[in-house]
Parts: sequence; C-alpha cells; structure tokens
Amino acid sequence: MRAPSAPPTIRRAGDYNSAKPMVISERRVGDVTLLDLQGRLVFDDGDEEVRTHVNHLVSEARLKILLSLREVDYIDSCGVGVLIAKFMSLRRRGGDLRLVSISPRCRRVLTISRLLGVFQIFESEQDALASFADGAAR
Amino acid sequence: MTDTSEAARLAALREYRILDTAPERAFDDLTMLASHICGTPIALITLVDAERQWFKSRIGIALEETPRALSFCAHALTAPDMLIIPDAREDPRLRDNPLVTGDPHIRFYAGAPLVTPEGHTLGTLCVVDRVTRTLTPLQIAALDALRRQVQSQLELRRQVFELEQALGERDRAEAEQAGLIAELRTTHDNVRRLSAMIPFCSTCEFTMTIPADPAAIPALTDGVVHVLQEKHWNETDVMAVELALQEAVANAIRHGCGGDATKALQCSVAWDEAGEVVITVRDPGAGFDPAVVADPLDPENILKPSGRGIFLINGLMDDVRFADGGREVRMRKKKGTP
Repeated sequence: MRAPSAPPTIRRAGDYNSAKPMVISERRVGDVTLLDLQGRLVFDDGDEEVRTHVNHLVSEARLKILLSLREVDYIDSCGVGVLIAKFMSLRRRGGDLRLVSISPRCRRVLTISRLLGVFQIFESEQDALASFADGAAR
Repeated sequence: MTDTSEAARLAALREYRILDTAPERAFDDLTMLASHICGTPIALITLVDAERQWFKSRIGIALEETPRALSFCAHALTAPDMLIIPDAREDPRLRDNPLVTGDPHIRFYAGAPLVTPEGHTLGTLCVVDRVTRTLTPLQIAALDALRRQVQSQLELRRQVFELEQALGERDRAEAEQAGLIAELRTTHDNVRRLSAMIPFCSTCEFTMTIPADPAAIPALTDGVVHVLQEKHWNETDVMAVELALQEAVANAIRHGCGGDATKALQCSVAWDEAGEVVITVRDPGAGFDPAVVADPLDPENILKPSGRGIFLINGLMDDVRFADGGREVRMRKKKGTP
C-alpha cells in the first residue's frame, strides 16, 4: 500500500463509534462528589474533561472525590497522568481522590504502572462512600 | 404607526412574496365583483410597500403603482375598520392630493383593510369613484365579504409557498440521505471485501502517513484491533498492542510534532507468517535519547503525572527498539495462545 503524499482529511474523534466523547455524570452525597466517567480517558480525548471537572469541584472546595471507572473502557498514560495529578492536588489540599468499580483495562494499566497501591480502590460505591465517612481522607 | 410596527408590517408583506408579481385571476375576479357591487368605475387590491403602493389587481386605472405619499390606502392602514371618504375635497388629509386636484380627480374612496392573521395590515381592497357618493349598508357588507376573500387568497398563496419550500427542503434532505446511504454502502462493501481477505493473509503490511492530530488515533488503533481480531489474537494481546500503538502515536504527536496537526507521522503495521506483528512509528521531530528517560517506577517519579508512555510500551510489547536518534520506534509482539 503506498503512503499518500499528504495527510488525509480526518474526522474528529467523536465521529468514531468506538471513540465517543467522555461523559461525566456528577452526584453529590454529603461532602463526597461521585463522578461517573463514561468513555475513553486518553490523550486529548477525555483527559481534559476530567481535569476541568475536578478543577471546578476544587474551586467549590469539594475535595472528596470518588471516580467510578466502570465505563472507562480505555485509558492510556495521559489518562493515568490526570488521575495522578488530581490525586496529588486533592491530597495537598486535605482531600482525596478514590476509585471505584474500575474496568479490567483500567486495572491492567494501573497494575503495569505500579499504581494500584497508590489509589484507594473499592469494589462497591457503598464501601467507597463509607471510607470517606470513616475519616480516612485526610 | 411606530417604526418597529411598520418594520414588522413590511416584513410580513415580504413573507407573501406577492409584490411585483403578475396579475392573477383569483384576485381580478374579486376586484371586478367589488366594482360591480359598489357601482364604481375603479376597484383595486393595493399593497402598501415602504415607499409605494402597488396594485395586485386593478379595474379602471392604468397605473401599476403610485408613490406612498399619494396613497389613500396608506391612511386606511391605521383605520380600525373600513375607511369611507364620500368627498375627498372635504377631507383635510386628501384635499391637496394631486390625484384629487388633478387627473383622475378622485372624489369617493372606500377601503377595506387586508389584515393578516398576525394583525398586520398589508393594504386594502378599495373602490374609487370620480364623483361624490357613498355606499349602502348592503354594499358595505358585500365589500367586507370580498375583503375576507382577498385575505383568504393571500393566506392560500403564503401557505402554498411555504408548502413548496418544505417540499423542496424534504427533497434536498432525501437526496442528501440517498447520497450518504450510497456512500456508506460503498464503504461498507469495501471494508467487507478487505476484512474477508484478512484471515487468509499470511503476510501483510500497511504503510500510512497520519496527520499529527489526536483525532486520527482511534482510526488507526481501531483498524489494527480489527485486523488482530480477524487473525484470532487473544483479548489481552490485542489490548497490549492497541495501547502500545496509542502510546507511540501520542508520543509522536506530542513530542515529535509538537502538537502541530499540520505535521504528519509515518506508521507501518506488518505481520508475518509466524504471527508476529511489527509496528513502526516515525515522527519528524528532533528525537530523544531513550537511555535518559526517567524510570516511572522510581519512588521519586511514581507520583509524577507524566513519563509513563515508553515504560508502558516496553511492558506491553515483546521487543521495543528506538532508531534514528529516537525519531523512530519499532515494536514487536508475537501472537499468544488464543
């Protein structure tokens, strides 16, 4: 197959069925904010949306954040980078970022990156919320 | 009438798209009846434009329009009901009007306003005479009935126009949809033919030039995933190749092309008879030294948000080599047990 002489015109990522734009649904339970992420969390596709959303919560002084990654079917090092950056940022402010229901793909990437032990990760939302109530967040 | 309401009235008049159109029997019949019933030599359907009054239908007068300043009907626009002037010479608004003082020496005028459903008065159905006179109650009632018929004709005309527009838009949308379906069918057929061949390909290589735009990445990774699935690779290995490719291309876009989507990178994906996939990604950047990339597992780096791309590629693929000063990465992975 010959390479074309100029880059072809391409569609935006959202045009591909497998690359729907990230959807973030927010719920608030007491002082904990649950964010249900749905979509890809990769370079230039979902990473900025999560960063902006968490930054907005921080500006409202909502520092206990629980991310549900059940429907994040694809994550790369940029997505992992956003999780780490926001985790560190919240910790510095006395809050925390915890994860619940992570998809097998997310688990694999976090495992390879040796970050599974860095985050507090829960199987159920109930357990995750209880962990904040226990005062485990600094 | 305020400027705003006059602007709205003129906009409403434009919606009917009737100004400067040819005579129509439906309107001419009504002016003829008005003239006969009222016994006047002149009957008109007038539409008052910004600077003129234009006659859609006219009996007994050769003019097609007059300046609005001379228009009797312009006065009827603001009248609450039918405006009847038995002798224009005695009306202070009209006695100095050249149409009264000179030819055709108008004396009598009766104008029934043509009002849209939205309340805008567009003009009148009027009867005119060169002698002073008045109308009987029956004639007034008949003129009013004819006015309603003119209004109905105007509405019919507008609805027909709107219907034609809607039908035109529907036809255009249908044609566009048919074109898209044909394009989709062709694309689908092409994909199906290519896909059908993949399981039988013993070796194959795709060489691609890809715009340095993150939006291009899913097209590339989806294509490679599809090929590997057709070759019956297991899910874990497919994911490994997909992620390694994602990382390599993202690195090439961010670092090799500086995020400049007008630049391009080269990528080749090949697999051989032994079931090994070989992916090469090459960017036009300044390169880097892979030996000095920090270890993301080092306690100093483990909580840094960046610097995991190459580490992931190394962990996911069987063999990873950099060439040409870091501008090119070549990575291999053997097909595992399905």
